[in-house]
Parts: sequence; structure tokens; C-alpha cells
Amino acid sequence: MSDKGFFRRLWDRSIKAAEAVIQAVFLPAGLFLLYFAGLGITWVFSKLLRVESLRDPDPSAKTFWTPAEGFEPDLEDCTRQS
Amino acid sequence: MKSSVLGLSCHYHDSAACLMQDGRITASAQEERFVRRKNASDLPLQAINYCLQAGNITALDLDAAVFYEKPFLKLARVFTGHLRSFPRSFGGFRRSMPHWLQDRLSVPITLREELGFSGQTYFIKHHLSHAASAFFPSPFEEAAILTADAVGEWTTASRGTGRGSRIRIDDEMRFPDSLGLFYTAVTTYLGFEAHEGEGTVMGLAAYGRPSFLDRLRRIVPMRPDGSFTLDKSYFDFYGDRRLYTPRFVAEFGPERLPGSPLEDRHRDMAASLQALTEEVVLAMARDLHERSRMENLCLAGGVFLNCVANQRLLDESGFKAVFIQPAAGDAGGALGAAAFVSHSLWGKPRPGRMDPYLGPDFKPGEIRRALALAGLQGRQLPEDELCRTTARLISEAKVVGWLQGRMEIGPRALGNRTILGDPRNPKIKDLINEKVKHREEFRPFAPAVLAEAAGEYFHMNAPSPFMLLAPRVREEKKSVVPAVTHADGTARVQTVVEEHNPRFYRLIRAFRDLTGVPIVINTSFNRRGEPLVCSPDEAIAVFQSTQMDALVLGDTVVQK
Repeated sequence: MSDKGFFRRLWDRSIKAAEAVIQAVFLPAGLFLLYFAGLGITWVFSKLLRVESLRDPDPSAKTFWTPAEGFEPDLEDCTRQS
Repeated sequence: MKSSVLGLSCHYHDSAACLMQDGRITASAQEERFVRRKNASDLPLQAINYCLQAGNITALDLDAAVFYEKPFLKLARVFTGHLRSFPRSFGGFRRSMPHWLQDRLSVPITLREELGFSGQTYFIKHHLSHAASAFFPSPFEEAAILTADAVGEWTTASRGTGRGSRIRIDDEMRFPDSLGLFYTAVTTYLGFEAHEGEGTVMGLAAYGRPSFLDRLRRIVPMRPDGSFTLDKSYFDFYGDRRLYTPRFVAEFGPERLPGSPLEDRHRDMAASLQALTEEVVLAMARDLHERSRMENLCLAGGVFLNCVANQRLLDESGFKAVFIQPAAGDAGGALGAAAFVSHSLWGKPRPGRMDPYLGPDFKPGEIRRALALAGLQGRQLPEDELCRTTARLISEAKVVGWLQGRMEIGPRALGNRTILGDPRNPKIKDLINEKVKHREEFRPFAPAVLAEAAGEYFHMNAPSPFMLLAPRVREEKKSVVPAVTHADGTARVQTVVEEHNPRFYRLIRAFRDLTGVPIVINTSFNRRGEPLVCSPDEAIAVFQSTQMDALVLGDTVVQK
């Protein structure tokens, strides 16, 4: 009984320690990589390809209103998170 | 069995829940009131539990839950925003991504784990939630709809129309061209907190001259239809530290540090910002009026918590009537999401009238217990005497806490969680600030007036039940109610009718019978930096920890 309690506590502590390591080391490192490698490469390509969503609107445009899309959803549309 | 839908707004700021049953709003509340942390953004579990209790159901009885925006669309915009500001946006990216990974993309899973809800979860676009929150509770069968806030998924403003149970959004403006973000950026430049200090800046604007207006117009070029684009060289919404760039500082001078003295140029910047905001929303509304040819206008989104701009829309846009529900900011998204599913998709009848008193109520026994626990003794009085006694205390320059009935939704106290004062007393503002509120001295206090007498004191020809209009005080009355007259001669008025809040109405009537003035000061019942009180315990805590003179909890009056 006491052995089981010991192993259970050991397991819980190990999980907590692993969580702490992930939080302190792997998560920041992962985010760093995602940002500078993932977004960095995307940024380079988006500049080269002049991706529309990164471009500012034409400052001489007659209006900055744009036709709205996706504002008349049915129940099926509403099940989607995007 | 009633059809029940739970609306939710959370994960950014001001999270809230709303329960609608058979098309009627059963309950709605902001999470901040329960967790006692202003603008709380977590999943509103306590607000949800309250709503379910008020509807006498459990999560298993819900037919659907509705989230007030589309998380994956929003994430796409967030990534795009970080790309636009690459590589300066790393700090913001590092701070926000863990939230996205932990909870923002897993609403249905969280609802199942936390509440045991395994039914259908729907997702409505952010500005459609705003539009629905504006139109469906309005008294109009048809109306034009205008929304504007910081940003939803991509949309920062939208315009369209509502008819019966249908909403049609025709046009939108998209991130990063955002009136809400522009206002917030300048708010932070002026040393006030984002999402909290905007109202303070609106109050400060009355003390300045719009001397920066022309320069602001150059960086926010506007078209006659009210649409505009921001000069991005002045703003950086994903930068690591500030929402504005060094170029903005070079153009307008160093930013004000929080808490440092206010200078004339800060007041002038606030006045310029306010003037430009009014120009933009007025142009938007006028153009919408011309296009829609409708008489009524419904407004929502955080921008329309700006009561000075709202008043100009009512007076000058061409619309005959304007409706703004009390939780016009993101908290109202919960209401809008639930209302859209209930009315538009399920075809349930609309409520016909917006009741702002949708929060928790406390029974006399609970109030007695709270007082006993705090060691306080009060006098329990019949309603007439209660109102007369309270009116007398107010007239004697006492600062009175007043907690009655169900709590209000939205940022304003509307007569149920209120601190009361005498509007005739020119020193009462300082007194309330010194004793309880400790707010900036330039911020005005608002009047609650008997609806039938509002025209005698204010230039107004439409009701303002949710304190979202700021009409001018009549010249001859400014000296009668100096405590509620702001520096620019306006007042943020709440009109009170007996049918909607009988006890608050009778209190103001008792004050009128005593003094001849049908107005009391109505400011939110809280300490600085805290949310509005919800329960008698919290009201007592404010009473005991400040120099508040008297407290009225339900039928009981307690005096120091």
C-alpha cells in the first residue's frame, strides 16, 4: 500500500517537473522557433509575393468600406470556428 | 421545455454570459462581477453558473451554446498582425500564443470539461454578434445598424440593416484600420490604461482645445462616407510595447507617464482625439442614413460607449431615433450571439424591450445575514419611508450606497448598484471622490433624472435609459445642478421611468418632493479599480472600508 503511494507521489512529481520544464524551456524555445523560423520565412515570402492581406489599402481609394462576407450564416456555417 | 441558448464572450476582455429562453433574455452578467477583477477575460464560468441558476436549468438542458466570434479566423488575423510587425512583434507573440494554445481554440472542449455540456456549440462573427446585440433587443421593427470597435476577427466596423428577425451586413472596414484601436492607442499615449481609460479620455477632452485635430486628420485620412485608413507609420498594434510608433511621439511629443501631471497638450490631444472620433462616426452614420433611408439607428461595439459621440449621432446624423443597448462593448457580444441564434436561426420572437437588470438578486434573508456577519445593524423600512429617508440623507450631503434588485449589465450603474449624491451641491464631487471613489478630479458624475422632467434640465428629446447619451444642460439649470454639469456643459444622463425601475424612480421622486430637483447623482458602486459590487457582502465591504456615510441594502438603511 505504502509502495503504491510512494510510486503514485513519484509519478505526480515527475509529471509536475515535466510540466515545469515544458513551460520554462520547451514552450519558449518552441515559440521562438515558430516565430523566427516559421513567421520569418513566411514574412520573407510574403514580402516577395506582396501578399494582399499584408498590403495597405490604396490611399487614394474613394472608400475604405469593403463588401462584407460571411455575415449571413445558417446553422451549418455557425458550427465552424472559421 | 423552453428552448435555451447560452451566449458567451471571453478570452479578450470583459467576458460575459447570457441565457436566452424562448427568445427572452433570462439572465446576463459579466464575469468580472463574480471574480472581482475588472475586465476579467477568462471563460465566464461563474457568470454561466449564475445564468443557469436563474433559468432554473443545468448545462445538460441547454439546446446550444454560442460563442461571440470565430476563433480560427481571429487567429489568422493575429498571425497576419504579427507578420506585419515582424520582428518587433515577438514579445506580443510570446505572451499571446500560450493563451491561444491553452484555451482560445478549444471552447467546446472546455465547455464539456468544465460544465458537462456536450451539445452543439455555434460560432458567430464578432461584429455580427455586436449587430445582433444592437438590433434584436431594440424596439424597432426595422433599423440601420452600425458597429465599431477595436477589432473582431478582421472586421473593425460594419454597417447594414435589420428587419424583423433578419440582419444584413453590407460593408465592413478591416484591420488594421480601426477607430477603436486608434482611440485606444492615443489613450495609452496619454498615460491611461487600454480598455479602461477611454472613458477617462472622453471626460478629459472637455478641458482641452482640439489643436491637434488637423494633424490627426492627416494621419487618419477619411472619406465622406466615414471610412478611413490609418497611416501605419504612426501605429504599431502588434509591437512589443506600445500601440504607437516613435514617429507618433516625434510628431506629438513625449507620451505621458501614468500618474504624472496632466499638461495642456494632453488635454488638447484628448479634445482632438474626441473631435476626430465624432467626425468619423457622424460621417459613417450620415452616409448610412442616406443609403438605408431608415429612421432608426442601432449602434454597438466599444466605440459606442462614447456618450458624447452618441449624442451627436442622435442630434446630427439624420436618424430620428438611436438605440444603444447598455453592454455595447464586448460583454454585449454574449447577448448578441445568443440573440442571433434565437431570433435569426430559430425564429423565436424578439423581446421587444431591453431590460438592463439581468444580474443576480439577493433576498431579504441574505441581506440580513450579510449585515449580521459584518456586525452591522440597520433599520428596515417600508418603501415610501425608505425612499424619503434616503432622499433626506442625500440632501444632507451624505454619500449613500444603494443596492437593490437585480444587478445591471454593462459598464454603467443604472440605479441598482449605485452611489448616490446631491447634484445641487457643488462640493459633492470632491466629497464622493475623497470618501469613496478616488477618481481623477476632472471626471464628471452622472445624473439620473425622472424621465418626464428631463427636458426641463437638459436639451434632450429622446430617452437615455442606459446612460449612453450626453445632452447639454440647459443654461438656466447649470447653477441648479452644478455637480453633474461637465466642463463642456453636457451631462451623461440616465432617464428613469417608474415602469422600468420602480424603486429608483420613487427615490428620485422623493428627492424632488424634498428639494424641488428631480435628479440625483448616480455613480457606480465600487472602489477605484474594482468592478461594480454584485452582492450585499461586497457592498458592505465598500461601506466599511471607505468613508461612505450610509448604505441602503434592499429595505434596510445602515448609517455610520
